[in-house]
Amino acid sequence: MKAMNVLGVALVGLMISASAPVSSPGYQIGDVVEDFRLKNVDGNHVSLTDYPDAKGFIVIFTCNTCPVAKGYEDRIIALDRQYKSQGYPVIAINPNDAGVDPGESYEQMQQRATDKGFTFPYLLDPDHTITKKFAATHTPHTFLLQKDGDDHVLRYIGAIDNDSRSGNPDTKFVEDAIAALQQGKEPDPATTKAVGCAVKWKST
Amino acid sequence: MKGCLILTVAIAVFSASGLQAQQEVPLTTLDALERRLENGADTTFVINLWATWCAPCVAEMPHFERLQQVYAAKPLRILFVSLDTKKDQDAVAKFVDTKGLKNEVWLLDEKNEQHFIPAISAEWSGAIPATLFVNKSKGVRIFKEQEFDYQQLENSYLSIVQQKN
Repeated sequence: MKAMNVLGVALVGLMISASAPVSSPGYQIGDVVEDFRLKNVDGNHVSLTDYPDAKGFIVIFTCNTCPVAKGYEDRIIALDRQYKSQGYPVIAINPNDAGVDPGESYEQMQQRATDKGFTFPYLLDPDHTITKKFAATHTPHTFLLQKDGDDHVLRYIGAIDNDSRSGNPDTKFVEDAIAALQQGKEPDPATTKAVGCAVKWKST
Repeated sequence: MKGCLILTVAIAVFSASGLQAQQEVPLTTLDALERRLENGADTTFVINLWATWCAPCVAEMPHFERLQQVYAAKPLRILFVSLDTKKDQDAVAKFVDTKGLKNEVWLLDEKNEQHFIPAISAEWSGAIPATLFVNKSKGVRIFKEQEFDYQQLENSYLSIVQQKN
């Protein structure tokens, strides 16, 4: 009977998950991240190898329309200002499909970058190729990479800080994670969670 | 004396309805929510995590309202749990009023995301919309980080209730 019950629960799980979008686990902490080449709002393409002097990267999946992501824009600019000179520049990637939300179009991205004075690349990810490799699920969603020789190793996944909704953080996860890397330590925590807007996947 | 009490109650009700033109959205904590689920016996709870600022959340709300209407005779409870901040409590109430939501709406009074997100589900990244299905007597707790259309929602609900205890 118990086995039946377990089977029942498993079946329910299967039936429900059949209707959900396909998800993959994506890169895990310690994994080597493949380089990518995505189009920036200035028309040029950007790759990690364009930054030979970088010690790592703050890769942030963010967008034009999500109020949580927009609430973080000034803090993302501040991160880039503070950490680019220390070897950890911000690279922003928009994971959303403009067909689902026209507010996420390339032109709107250009506008947003200009209006806010983005100091970092803001990249288009058509067909969510890179978004899926990272398994980014929402905006903003941050991935901290550290260079190890020619490799880029994933060291931290999650929130920028501990206040996604009010903007008054008292713990700055990304800054703490970079400080740990600079001291030759592992970030702790290496993963955090935060409320954000689900990625707008291209409808199939 | 009895008449007096009725009159008092009547005045209280009238003045309450007069003062409260809009529906209230009370605060809840994770503990209170879990106790509610624990005491729910054979009720199937569908807990929708949403926020006024989340467009796909707002778009899927009518499907949850419809599910409740279709299965009104069944032990089904829809709980809309808002992740708006406490300072937006009045705005959430206004939103509920404008949309004419019939199901319960609560505002989650939890600040620590490292606590409440994994406590609701280890599978939850924090993205919304997201929905938790709970039926204690069937031992079901299923979490879905997705936007539902009506058919998907009804199928999810039915797959739980059709399961043997």
